[in-house]
Amino acid sequence: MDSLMQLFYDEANEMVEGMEQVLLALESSEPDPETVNALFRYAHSFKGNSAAMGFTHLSKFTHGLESAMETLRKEQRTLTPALATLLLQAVDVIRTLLERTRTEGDVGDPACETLLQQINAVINGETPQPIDAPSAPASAKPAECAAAHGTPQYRIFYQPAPTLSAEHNPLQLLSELQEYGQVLQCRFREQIPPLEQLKIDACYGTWEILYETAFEPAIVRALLELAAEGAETRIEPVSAPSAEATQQTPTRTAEEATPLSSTVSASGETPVTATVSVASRGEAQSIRVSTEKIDALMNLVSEIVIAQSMLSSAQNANTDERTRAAITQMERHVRDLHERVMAIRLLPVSYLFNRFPRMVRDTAAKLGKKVNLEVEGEETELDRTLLEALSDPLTHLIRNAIDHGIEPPDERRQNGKPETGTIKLSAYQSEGRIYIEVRDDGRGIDTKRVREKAIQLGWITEHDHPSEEALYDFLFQPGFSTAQQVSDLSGRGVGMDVVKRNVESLGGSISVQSKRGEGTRFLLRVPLTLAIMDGLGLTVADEHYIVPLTAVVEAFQHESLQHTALFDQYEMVNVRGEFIPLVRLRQFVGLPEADQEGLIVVLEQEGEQIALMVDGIAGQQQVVLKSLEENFVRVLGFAGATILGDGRVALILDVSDLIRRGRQSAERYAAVA
Amino acid sequence: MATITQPTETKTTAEMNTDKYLVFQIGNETYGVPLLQVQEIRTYTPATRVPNAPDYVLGVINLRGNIIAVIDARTRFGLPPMPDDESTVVVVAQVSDKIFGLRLDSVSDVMDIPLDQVQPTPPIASEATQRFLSGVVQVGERVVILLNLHEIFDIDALSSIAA
Repeated sequence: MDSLMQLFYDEANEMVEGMEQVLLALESSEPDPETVNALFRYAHSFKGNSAAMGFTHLSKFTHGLESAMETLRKEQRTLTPALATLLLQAVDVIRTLLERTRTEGDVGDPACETLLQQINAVINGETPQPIDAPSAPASAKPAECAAAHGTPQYRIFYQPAPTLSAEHNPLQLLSELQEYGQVLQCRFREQIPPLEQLKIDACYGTWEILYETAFEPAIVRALLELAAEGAETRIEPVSAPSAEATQQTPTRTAEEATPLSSTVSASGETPVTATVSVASRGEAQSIRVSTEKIDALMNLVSEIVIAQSMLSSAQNANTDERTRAAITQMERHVRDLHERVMAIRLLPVSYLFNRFPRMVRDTAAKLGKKVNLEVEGEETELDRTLLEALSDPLTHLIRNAIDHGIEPPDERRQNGKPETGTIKLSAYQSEGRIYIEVRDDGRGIDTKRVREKAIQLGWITEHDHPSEEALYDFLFQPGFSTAQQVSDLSGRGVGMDVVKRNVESLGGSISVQSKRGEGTRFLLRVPLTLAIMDGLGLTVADEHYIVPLTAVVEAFQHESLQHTALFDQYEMVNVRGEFIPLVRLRQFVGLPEADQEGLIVVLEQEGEQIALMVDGIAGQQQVVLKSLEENFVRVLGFAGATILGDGRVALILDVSDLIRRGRQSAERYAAVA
Repeated sequence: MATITQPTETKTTAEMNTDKYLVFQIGNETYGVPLLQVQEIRTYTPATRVPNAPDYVLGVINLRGNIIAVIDARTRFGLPPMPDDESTVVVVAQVSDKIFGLRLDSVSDVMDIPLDQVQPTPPIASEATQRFLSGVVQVGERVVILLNLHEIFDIDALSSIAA
């Protein structure tokens, strides 16, 4: 029963998000009959699902919404902003109720009733305005040449999927149909095979229904889709010659979504609406799989990768040709398998970006600002754990942009800017990393005020004139906030320092650029996936450590570099005229110093470099990143661990921690020099 | 959904208040840990040293794709270490929601421990090690010292190993 509940909530949350997107899309794009239909479908299936789970209040409320949509649809009306706002509120009510059902069971909310009344009042009070937008999809045409006496009639053929399951309920279909029109005739045909071929759980019957309804075929089709998922259904308008007008409607079709997706422009100037694709329920053929299952699969595949490399390294001169060939083939398959499983974990960033249009709308409205959110590169794929971890930092950055970045409309007008500010959210992949950019065309960062604040906090003195970059760095320090007044939106005690920490804990980095009066741009860099990376093996004594290959710049023989040490403690090496702090890996991991000189590996992260002295380099390899914390504790100085080809564990060095240590030396040097 | 009625099991043995314990020898003493907490017993493979970890943490090993820490029982109890041999094992156990390995000289067998006969530990051990013990019980000829795995692993004390 638990999994059924889970399924309900998963679906419900998806539907809530879907409704919200449809509503936001309706607001900013040409009204489209299909989107009202989509809303109707959402409300309808929500009603059904919640009724099935015994949540009568939810079901009653969504039923009310469904009826409201029906009125809209019947009168061919479009959504007014007032109505859209009310409907968004309704979505919020559904969301709250959903959350509450988890703990309180079947609960209601007095807000439901009033909201429904308001919605209906708005609908009934408004003068119906016909939709001027594109006429209904071509498939809807036959409805117009309706049966002689006005109400169109259809002949519906319905054949349940060969194997009956709980989801297929012919009776439910009939009663649904009855709700939206009139079933004039219902004929049942059976094609029962000979006894020896008869399966006890199979359905051999088909229904032929003569149906009269004022709704257009799209709605009838939606009804069929919902009530008879997986079944074979067909609708024919009765008046038309059947051969011509027969519309094959397999329940899974992407056709319904096409009218809206045409609003997605191919250029970079993608409006908010582009993130919204109103999918009919069956559009993408997918199944729901819990992340644990995928993680377990991923773990298993990593094990196979390791076993494979053990097998490969076990080959020697005596291995016969056939075994060799088999191992080579196996290697290829394992690599494929690995890539496929990795791909399952990847999700498009739209999964995350889709949350923001609503947030931007609400936040902007609350602050009396006009903001347009543009989204770009939402198809960029990212590991889902990363996506989830990025949600908070991005939310914070966008809120900040609206609150502190974008000016109020009159101020913008005075400065010769368009009243509506723009926040651009874009994602792209480059050099094995994912870049996410949050850019606004607001007032930019006031470096003068940043400096004043830093002086006030005692971080610098009146005489210090740090560079622009150094000033921006202050923004990410704990305890820093330039907001003149703490708003209830951004100033909730979480600052940019938390954003920075969150991003860094993902192995990423954040930087900012700003131009006074023109805007601010935050750039987040995160690894493609947390689970896998290219690593370079480093050795000290008989120990083996891994450093991310993306951080490696170059390597030298130690003797070839000029080496200095301040107070015999803070060591630096001269790499092509530039002194870089030196960290000895042996010292870092608590091993005694070696008697011979080693190799220097130069590492870089976020523009800072460090020279790491090691005994040797063990070569490059793909490593699967494993958490040390999951069954043990976080070990400072290490980002995690991985399993080597021979089954041993190797620790992965945390480059940012090494750099932090090196910085001490650099600072000492700077103080003396 | 059809409900499948299962034949109710009839218990033939009288309900006894005993628990199964995995019993092993360290030095001259016999120790036991609740079998329910034990996931598996593995031969010992060298662990990867974790810099700056306490001495009783031998390091981390690969347990089917999971990284787990291995704790040396002897070092933990303040006993002189023993070199690896064929009988050296790692008992993989779960405490709270973490899995760890306990390196032992060997394991002997599984015993039924009558819970109502367990006595509080007499102050035989030093105070430092006293907390690792949860009781003592006499089973036939043998005295079995019951161990508290939670205290032995003591993840909170390790919390985060500062390098």
